[in-house]
Amino acid sequence: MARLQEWELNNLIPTSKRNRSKLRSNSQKFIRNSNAPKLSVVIPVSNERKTILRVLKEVSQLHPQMEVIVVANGSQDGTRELALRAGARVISYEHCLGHDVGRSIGANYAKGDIILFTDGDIVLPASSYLPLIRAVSSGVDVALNSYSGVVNKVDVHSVVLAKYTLNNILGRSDLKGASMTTIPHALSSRALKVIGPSNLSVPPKAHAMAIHSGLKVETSGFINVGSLNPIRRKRFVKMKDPLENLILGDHLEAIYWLTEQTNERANLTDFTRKRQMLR
Amino acid sequence: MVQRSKKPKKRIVVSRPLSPRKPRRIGKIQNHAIARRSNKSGSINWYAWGYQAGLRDAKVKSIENSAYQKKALNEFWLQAYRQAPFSKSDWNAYNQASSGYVLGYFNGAGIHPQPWVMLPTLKSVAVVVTAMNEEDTIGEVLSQLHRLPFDEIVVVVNGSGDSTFQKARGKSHAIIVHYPDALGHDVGRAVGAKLTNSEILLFLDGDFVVKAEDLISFIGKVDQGTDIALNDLTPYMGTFQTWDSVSMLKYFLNKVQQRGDLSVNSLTAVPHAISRKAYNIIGPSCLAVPPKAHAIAISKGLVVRTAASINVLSANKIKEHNRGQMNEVADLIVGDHVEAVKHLMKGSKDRLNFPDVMRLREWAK
Amino acid sequence: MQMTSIIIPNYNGLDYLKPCIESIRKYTDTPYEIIVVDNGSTDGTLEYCKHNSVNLVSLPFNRGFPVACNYGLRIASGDAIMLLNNDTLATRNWLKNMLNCLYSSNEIGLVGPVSNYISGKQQITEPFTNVKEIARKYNTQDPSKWIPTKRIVGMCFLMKREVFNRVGLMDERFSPGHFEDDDYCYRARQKGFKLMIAGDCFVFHHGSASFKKEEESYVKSLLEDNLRKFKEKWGFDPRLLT
Repeated sequence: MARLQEWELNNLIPTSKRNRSKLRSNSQKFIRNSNAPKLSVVIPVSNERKTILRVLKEVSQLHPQMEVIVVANGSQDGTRELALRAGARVISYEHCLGHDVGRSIGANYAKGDIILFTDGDIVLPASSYLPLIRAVSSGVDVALNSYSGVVNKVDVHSVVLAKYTLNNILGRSDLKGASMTTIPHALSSRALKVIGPSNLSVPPKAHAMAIHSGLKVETSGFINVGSLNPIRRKRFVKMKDPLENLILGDHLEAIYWLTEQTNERANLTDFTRKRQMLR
Repeated sequence: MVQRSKKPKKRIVVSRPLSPRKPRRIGKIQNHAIARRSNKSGSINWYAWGYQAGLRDAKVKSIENSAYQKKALNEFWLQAYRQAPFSKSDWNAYNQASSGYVLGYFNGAGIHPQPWVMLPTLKSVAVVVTAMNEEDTIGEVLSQLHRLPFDEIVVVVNGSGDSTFQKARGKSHAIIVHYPDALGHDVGRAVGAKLTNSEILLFLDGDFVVKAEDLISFIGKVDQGTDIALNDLTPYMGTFQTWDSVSMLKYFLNKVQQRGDLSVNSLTAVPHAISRKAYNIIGPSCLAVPPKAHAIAISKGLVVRTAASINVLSANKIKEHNRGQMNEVADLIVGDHVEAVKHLMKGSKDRLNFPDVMRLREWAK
Repeated sequence: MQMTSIIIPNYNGLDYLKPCIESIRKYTDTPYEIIVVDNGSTDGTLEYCKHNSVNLVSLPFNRGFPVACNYGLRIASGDAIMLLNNDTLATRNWLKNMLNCLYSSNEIGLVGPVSNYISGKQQITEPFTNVKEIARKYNTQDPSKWIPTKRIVGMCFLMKREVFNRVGLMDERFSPGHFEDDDYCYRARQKGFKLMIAGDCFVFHHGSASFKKEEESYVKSLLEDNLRKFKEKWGFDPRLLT
């Protein structure tokens, strides 16, 4: 891992406004995929033409031996082409496969010891991903973003509530609202094997599986993805967010899975309630 | 000296019958007027309205020969209440009016006033109090309950090492159940409920004194059609970041049943009142797991609403001296909520009413 | 393993209740719970129950036998439920033998023992000497001693939970007591349950202790009243069934 530190210190190129225009016109391939990567970055995309190149530019600096896997599903605005030209390994699907399915597919192809997941529409400086990568390389199985959502109000968002609730049920209230639902996060290859790539399609369930099977799940770094989501927020401010119900259902699915593995109380104590007194 | 001739004053002679006046039934508008008149500022004084009504009734109705005088007076009150000039959902006004009525009646009848509180219903009402080691508070709890004309009072003392039982027995005509071993959380409530017959069931804990007036809205709401009348804890909740695990689970359980409006309110907290119909549908064994009872009530379409807002949280804080125990109790309640959610999922409805219509999962395999 | 709830109504009968409970504790080897339903006693019953780990339902004043039984029935959680007078004594193998008879067939719903002071076919014919001796004589399991019957006396009344679920509570019109057991037996038979006397189980009975204290004329009028109530309800004389 000495090589990674060297790389970090000397070779990170921040994306300034000057560089951005260069990127647009410069259709050069800047991602070099290794055949034996230590780090795999998985990015599901649909229509993120405006941000994809910047995202790719940042992640491409993370490790000398890495691969970038872009899972393009239902891409109609040229995002897929941009990713291809930049040199990413692109897996394409004509139709939109739905939230998170792309992560499963990408994870299936990932060969790295560390697998980092992020989205194509959130531009983060390369340095933000480093704590997650460092954590996994030093033994953490699931390194999470500690961002927990907006909690300084009473009627908190259903998704925030669901994440906190699931962690409480799993006995990990220390994680607060951190969850595999939130990007970015990183997995060890061991974690990926234990959870199974297909289960990443329902992130809360994968989260429950990770914790329940004894994997080391920790938060490593705070990346405020809430404020970086202006596009998403604008779209859903007027209508009821369909994602909200989907994610709520995902958390229920996670609880169902957990109770099938343990008991109807997720193995939480019943304190010897004398239920037989009530026939 | 000039003498002025006095004009004789016109005298109007009115002939009146000699029979005694019959008491007039006062209509709503006149009631309103009485209430208004009694307060010089012009705002309504329900207490005065009640007082006048009590005073009037004392002249014509007697409770002396009744075996259950409190109940007899309650029946008179309910007749007056029908003419009440305030909304049937204004429990503040109710409490003022009924306390005025009681004092008015006693004064009118020349009886030494008792601190009675009148029930807003003719339906039978039972109250179940669970207690373990509550010798310090049980007396006061029962004192407040004695102010109301309940049909049944059941106290369930379990696993007690102090004089809770003796204090309760000495103080009250309640039916007192005594189990030497602790029954476990909430089982006492269900055991007590099994002994009742009444149409409305009210549940309290023996460690927290609730004033009789504060119980009225719970009973009144059930009388008016609510099946589950809950205590509203939301005014005492801080922002989400201050919440404990139990509060989060309560909110979550409400949200997944599309009752986010209930926030953290649930059958987990006392006081609460339920209808006999709700009790029959839920059943005693589920009542012993309050979140499960709560979930069943909502899923079976029962009417679940909040009634009053009584701060029982501060009482629990006093018990925080034993942190370890608190965590175990919290785990128990979290487990109860998981059990409740799993119960709703019977029939393999693993996502309840939140289907996954967006994903094509087969592609991920 | 089946658990039996033993319900004992009591009114100022501590002198009988204490040895009764002690005998139950000594001689019962199957799982059981004791529920004393106290009718407002002032003789120390409540303190005794509290200090002897007995489940207790304390009523504020005397509400009679059927009402007390009903509170006990509501709170009982056993697979089998027994109503027992406080002026009785359990004997070696008593419950085991009665349960054996009760569960010997699906049709049987109610079982009662034989005794030294009891009306009808449950009365032993030989002269009573002492409890231990008679118990030794009778209490060996012997199905040939089981006698089908149309009526079990409420002094010791063992039923399956199923019977309680289907027949319901005691009829409180027979308060403060007498003929509520006849009434219950008749209702149980109407539902198709069979009643058996376990001749291989002897339970000692001091005899009408609860009503002995009252005046004779009071007891007489009570019997007459309740007999009339029974006849009004069912249209026949229950004494013809014994």
